[in-house]
Amino acid sequence: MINAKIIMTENVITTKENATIAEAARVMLSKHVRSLVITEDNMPVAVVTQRDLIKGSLNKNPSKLKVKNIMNKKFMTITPDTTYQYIVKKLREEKIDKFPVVEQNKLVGIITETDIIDATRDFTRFHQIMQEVILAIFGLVTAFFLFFFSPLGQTISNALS
Amino acid sequence: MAKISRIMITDVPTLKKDSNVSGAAKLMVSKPHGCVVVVENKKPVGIITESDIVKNLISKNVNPKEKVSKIMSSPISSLSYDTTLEKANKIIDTKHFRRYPVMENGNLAGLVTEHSVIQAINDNIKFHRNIQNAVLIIFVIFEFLIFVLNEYIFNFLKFLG
Repeated sequence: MINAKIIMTENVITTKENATIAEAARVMLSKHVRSLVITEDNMPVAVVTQRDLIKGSLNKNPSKLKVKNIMNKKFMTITPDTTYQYIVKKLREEKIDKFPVVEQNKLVGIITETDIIDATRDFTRFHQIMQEVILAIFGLVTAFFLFFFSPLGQTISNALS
Repeated sequence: MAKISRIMITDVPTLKKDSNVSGAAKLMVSKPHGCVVVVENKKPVGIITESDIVKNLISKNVNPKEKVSKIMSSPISSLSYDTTLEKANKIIDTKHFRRYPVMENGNLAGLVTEHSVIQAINDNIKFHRNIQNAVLIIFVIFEFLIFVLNEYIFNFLKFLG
C-alpha cells in the first residue's frame, strides 16, 4: 500500500497569521510554492493560497492586509498512514488539494496537488512495466505449450528419456 | 488512443492584449482555472498564471493599471487538439508547465492541465490492463484445452461421430 509518508513533501513552508499578505507573497515566491500553511503550536490551523492573496489584494493594500483576514480552512489533516487512494478520492470528490500530514500533534509534511501528480506519474510507469511483465510471462507460457506438445518437442522429449 | 480534446476545458477565461493587470486578477479569481489566456483575434499570444499576478501585483507593486502584455508569459507552449494523451504527457514532461492552451486551426479551443492529462492516462492504463488480463486468461484456458486435453477431445469427437 502506498501511504502519505512516501509521497509527502517534508519541508513545509509555514507562516504566522499576523504576517501581511505582501510578506506571504514574498515567502511563496522565494520558496517556489503555491500555498503556505499557517501553524499554531506546530499544528496546522489554516492554509493560504496564491488565489487568496490575489482576492485579498484586489480590495486592500497588500502591505496592510493580514494573512488571518484571507486564510481559508479548505484543507484536510491526514496522518502518515493515510493511503494514496484515499487522498486521490478526496481530491477528486471534494476538491480538497492541501493535505497537511500530522504525526503526534506535530506537522511533519504536506501533500499538495503537485505531489499527487508526481506520484500518479510514477504509478502510471509502474502499471506500464507490470503490464509488460505479465505479457512476457504469458508469452513464455504459450511458447512452452507450443513447443512441448508439438511433434518436434515430442521427438526431443522422447529422445531424452 | 484518446485525444486531449476529450479532457480539455472549453470555457477558457480570455482577455484582450490591452486589458489591465487588475482586470486579469479579477477574472482569474472569478473562474476556477487559475490562469487567464491573452488573445488577439482568437489567437492566444500569452498566458498569465496566479504566480505572475502574485509576483507583479503584490510583491513588486506593479501599477494595477499596467497592460497585461507587460507581465504575461509569451510565447506560449500550446498543444494541438488532436494530440494523443501519451504525446501530451511527453511534451508536459519536457516543458514542466502546468497549463497548456489547446489550439484548433490556429485558434484557441480549450485548456488542458497537467493533472487532468496524468489522471486520464492512469485511468486508461488501469482499464486496459484489466481487459488485457481477462483476454490472456481466456487464451491460456484455450491453450490448456487444445494442448493438454486434446486426446480427450478427439476421443469425445470420435465417440460422437
